[in-house]
Amino acid sequence: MWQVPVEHRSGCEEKPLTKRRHVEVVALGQVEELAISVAAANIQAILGLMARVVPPWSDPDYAVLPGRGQYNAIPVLKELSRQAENNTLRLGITSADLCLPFLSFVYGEAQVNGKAAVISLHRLKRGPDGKTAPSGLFLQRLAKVAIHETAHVIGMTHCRQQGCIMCFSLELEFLDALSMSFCPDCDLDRRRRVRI
Amino acid sequence: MNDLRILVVDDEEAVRESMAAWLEKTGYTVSLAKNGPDALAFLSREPFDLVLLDIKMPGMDGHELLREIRQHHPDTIIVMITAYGSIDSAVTAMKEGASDYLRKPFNPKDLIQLVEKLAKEKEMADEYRLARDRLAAYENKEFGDLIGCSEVMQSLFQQIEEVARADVPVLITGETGTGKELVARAIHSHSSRASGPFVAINCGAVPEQLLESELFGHERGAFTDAVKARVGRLEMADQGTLFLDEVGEISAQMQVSLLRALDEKSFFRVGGSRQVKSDFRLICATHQDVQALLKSGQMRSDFFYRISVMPMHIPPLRKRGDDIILLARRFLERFSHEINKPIEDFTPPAYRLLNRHNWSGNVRELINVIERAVMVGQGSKIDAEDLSFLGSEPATPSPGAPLREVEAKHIRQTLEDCGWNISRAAEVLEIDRGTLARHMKKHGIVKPR
Repeated sequence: MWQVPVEHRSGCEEKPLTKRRHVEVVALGQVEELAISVAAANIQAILGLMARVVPPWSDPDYAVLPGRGQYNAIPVLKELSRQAENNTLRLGITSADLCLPFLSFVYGEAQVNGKAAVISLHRLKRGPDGKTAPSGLFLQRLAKVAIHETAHVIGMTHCRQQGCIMCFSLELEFLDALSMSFCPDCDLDRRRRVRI
Repeated sequence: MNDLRILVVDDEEAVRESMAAWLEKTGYTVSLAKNGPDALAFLSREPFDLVLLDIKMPGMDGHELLREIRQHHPDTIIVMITAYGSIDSAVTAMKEGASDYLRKPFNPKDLIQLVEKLAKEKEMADEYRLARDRLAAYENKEFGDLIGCSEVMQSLFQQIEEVARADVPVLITGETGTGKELVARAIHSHSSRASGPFVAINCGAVPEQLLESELFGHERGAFTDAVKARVGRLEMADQGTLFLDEVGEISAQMQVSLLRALDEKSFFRVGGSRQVKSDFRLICATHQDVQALLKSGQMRSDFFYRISVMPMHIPPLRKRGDDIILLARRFLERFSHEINKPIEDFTPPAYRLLNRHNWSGNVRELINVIERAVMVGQGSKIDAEDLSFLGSEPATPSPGAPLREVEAKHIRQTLEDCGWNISRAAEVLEIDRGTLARHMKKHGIVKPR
C-alpha cells in the first residue's frame, strides 16, 4: 500500500494541470488527513491516474435520508460531479454512513463512465471482533475501495476473477481478502482506459 | 453472464437512478421506467430478462403490471420490490407469478446474489433453447429414437452412416441403458438390408440350454419339448440383420457354433440334418469390458475378431452434455401426452438437478425418472421437488475400485431403485432372474426386512 504524501495545494495556488485526466480527492466534512492522502497515493500508484488532494468540502448533510440517518450517495455524486472540468474526476471521502435509497449501505458509489465517486469510512473501521480495526487494515480497506470506485468512474465494471480488486465485496472479510491489484484482464482494461 | 437485460420500474426517480447506477457497475444493461404504461412500452419494444418492479406505484400498481407482464411476456423474470412492512403484498405477488421479492432497503449482498442466481437460470434456459434448436436440426436426419446434439453423438451418427454402408459385423459396446439396440436398429435402417427383417435377441436373458434352439431353431422331436419344428433367429434374419445383445454372456461352445455359421453362412437346426442357408448381417452388443472377457477366456479371441470387424462405442449419458436436457424434454412430451397431463416444461432448478445427476443407468434411468416425475408432478412444470429422489444417488465409485465392490454396489442400488422387485431389477440390469439371484448370493445381498 502506498502512503507517500502527494501534491497538496489549495485552490488559489493551483498551477495549470496537464491535459491528462486526473482525480481530485476531497474530504467531505471531518475526515482524517492520512486517509485522504492514502487514497490519493494509491489511486496514482495503482490505478495510474494522476491524483491530488484538494481542500475539504463541507459535510454533505443535504444527502441525509430522513428516518435512516444515513447519507444517500446519489446527491453526493451529483454535487461532486457538478462543475467538474473536462479532465477532472472527483473522489469524495466521507466519515458518514453511505447508502442508496434501495440498499441498506454501500462502502462506496460511483458514476460508471462519469465524473465522480464517493466512499465512506464509516464501516471500514470495523474490526473482525466488532471493535475498531487496526489502522493498517483500515487504510488498506480505504485504498481498495478508493481504487475500486474510481476505476468505475473510468468505465471499469465488476470482475469475477478471485482476488481482483474489481470484485464486488459483499462483506469486509471479502474486501480484506482482495489483493491491492487488478487481475490480468482488468489490468489490460485499466491501461487502455487510463491512456484515453 | 452479465448480458442480463434489466428493466427497473419505480415511480421514485432517486430509486430508479441509484439502482441503475449500481447495477451498471456490475456490467448489466439497465433501462428505467417510471410507471406501468412506461414499462409496458419498453417491453413491447425490446425483450428484458429481468424486471425489478416496485409494488406501490400510482396508477397501475405493481400487481396489475405483474399480471400484464406475465400474460404478454411469460419468459421475463419478475422480482418485486416492496417497502418495509408490506410482506403480505409481496407474498400475493409471488402467487401471481413473481420469482422473488426484495424488501427496501435491502442488503447489497441479497440483491447481487439474487441477480446472479437469475442470471445463471437465464444462462441455463438459453443453453436449453440452443440445444433444442440443435435438436430440431438433427431430427431431420432420421435416426429413429436416437436423439443427441452433443459432439459425441454427432460423431456416433456419422459413424452409423459409415458402418451402415459396409456389410460387415459390428460390435457395439456401452454401458447398460445407453441405447445399443437403438444404434443397431439405426445401422440396419440405413443399410442396404433395411427392407429385410431386424431380428434381436438378448443372449443374457435366455437360459444357456435354450439359447442354441433360439438361435439355430430345432426340428420336431429334437428334444423332449420339441413337439414341432421351429425356425431360429439366424434363419429369421435372412436378408436382414441379426442383433445379439449381451453377447458376452454366451458360452464358448455357442461361440464356436456361431463362428461356423458366420463363416459358412449356413448351419443346422438342432436335431436337423439339412443345412439351412441364411444371409444376414451380424451386429453384437455388450455392456461388459471386452478386453476383460478376452483375458478371462470368457470370450474366444477368434470369435471376438470375427464379430468386431467394426467396433462402435456409445458414450454414457453423463458424458453427453446437452443431450440430457434434450432427452428429458422429449420423454416429458411423450409421457405427458400418454397420460394426458399438460406438463409443458421443467423449471430451471429441475434442469440443474437433471444436469448434475450421474445417470449411472443412462437413458433407461432417465426415462424412468421422467415417467415418475410426470406421475407425481402437480404444476405446469416439473420442479426440482418432483425430482427430489435423484438427490439420493450414491457417489460414483472411485476409479480403481475393485470390480467386485462396484458390481455389488450397482446391484444393490438397482434393487433399491426397483423396490427390491427381483424381476424388475433383472430387467434393468439386462440379466435374467437366475443370474441376478446368483450375483446377489455371491455378494451376500439380501432384501432388508
